[in-house]
Amino acid sequence: MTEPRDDDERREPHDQQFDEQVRAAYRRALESDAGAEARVLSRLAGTKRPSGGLHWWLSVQAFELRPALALGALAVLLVGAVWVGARLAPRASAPAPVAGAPGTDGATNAAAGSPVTFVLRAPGATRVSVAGDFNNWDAEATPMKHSGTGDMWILSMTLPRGVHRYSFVLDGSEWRPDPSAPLAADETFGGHNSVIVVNGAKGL
Amino acid sequence: MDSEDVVTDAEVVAQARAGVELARVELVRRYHANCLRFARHLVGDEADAEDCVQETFIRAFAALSKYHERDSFRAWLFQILVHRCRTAAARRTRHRERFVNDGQVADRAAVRGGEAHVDAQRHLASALEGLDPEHREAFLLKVGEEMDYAEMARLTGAGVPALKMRVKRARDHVRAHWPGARHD
Repeated sequence: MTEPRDDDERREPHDQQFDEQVRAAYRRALESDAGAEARVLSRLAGTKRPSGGLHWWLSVQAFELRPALALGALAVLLVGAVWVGARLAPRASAPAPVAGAPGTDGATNAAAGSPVTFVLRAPGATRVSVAGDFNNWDAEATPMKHSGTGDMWILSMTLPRGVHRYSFVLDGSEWRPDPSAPLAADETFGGHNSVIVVNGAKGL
Repeated sequence: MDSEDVVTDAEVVAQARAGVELARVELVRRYHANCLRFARHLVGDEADAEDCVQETFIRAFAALSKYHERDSFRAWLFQILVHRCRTAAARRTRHRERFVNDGQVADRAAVRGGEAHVDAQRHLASALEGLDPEHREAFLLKVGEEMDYAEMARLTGAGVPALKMRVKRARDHVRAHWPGARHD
């Protein structure tokens, strides 16, 4: 008589009430296990398709993320970064406005690094560099090259696996986040830095 | 759930297919907790659940080209997850272990969330105990994940009438073992 006809079952009110109760208990367990999530990301990073490399970084500019998405992804990355950092090289990068930065120990990780290309359009600048946790936030250490035409500045370099925070520095003093970076470190991590993920961030 | 500001799964999947790594990260962020919660309740064993979820994402991303947008990404992902969980369950059975060890789920909740979590988790864990995998699976998909039967049929391979029967029986079982809800 109450045979369900439609897609969903016809439930008695007390069934519905009970289901709500069960669902509430079930959902209590929703909080993700940050460690487990980081391990998934880590495994994914380790099972990259052979053609992988870091080419996604260039295509990432086409990834028009809205803020919610970017912040969400950032949250995951920061969690992963802390975890990976703790596993790889738990040492502080001195002046970086960063907590729990990933290990950037060149001696152990450089061999596992990947090529990264930074690009910035900076009209009027006479010199542009990249500063980040990979060079101790040194505004002079890593200059970019002017592309020769227009206002483009380019730099290719190898970065160790992991999550890195960085910023561009114009004319030695003006710090500017990467407008094409899909991720930005929020204020908890010192304000307006950008974030780059280098493939193969393996925690093991 | 969708609003103007929310990037849809389809958009993110399209980016992931195009090779954008961060899109994969975003999909993990969106569904990892969801998958782990389901696997924990279904498999019972903490480590097995985590393995199932890891395998699920790896397989899903390897097979992303096979995903059709007419299906929800979550349902597609859960299809893989359900199969991973079944495999894990069969493995455990072969090793003559019990299919579930729900104490682990509750204990984990204790670590994470304090007393309220423990109580809720223990109620659910103990009420699910004794349910066979088929019934447990159907019940969790329906009541826990609020999937509709057509979706469930696609991802479990079972027919809708069978699923309805499983959910009903499972509900009766859980209700009978649910503290404070034994009598209406």
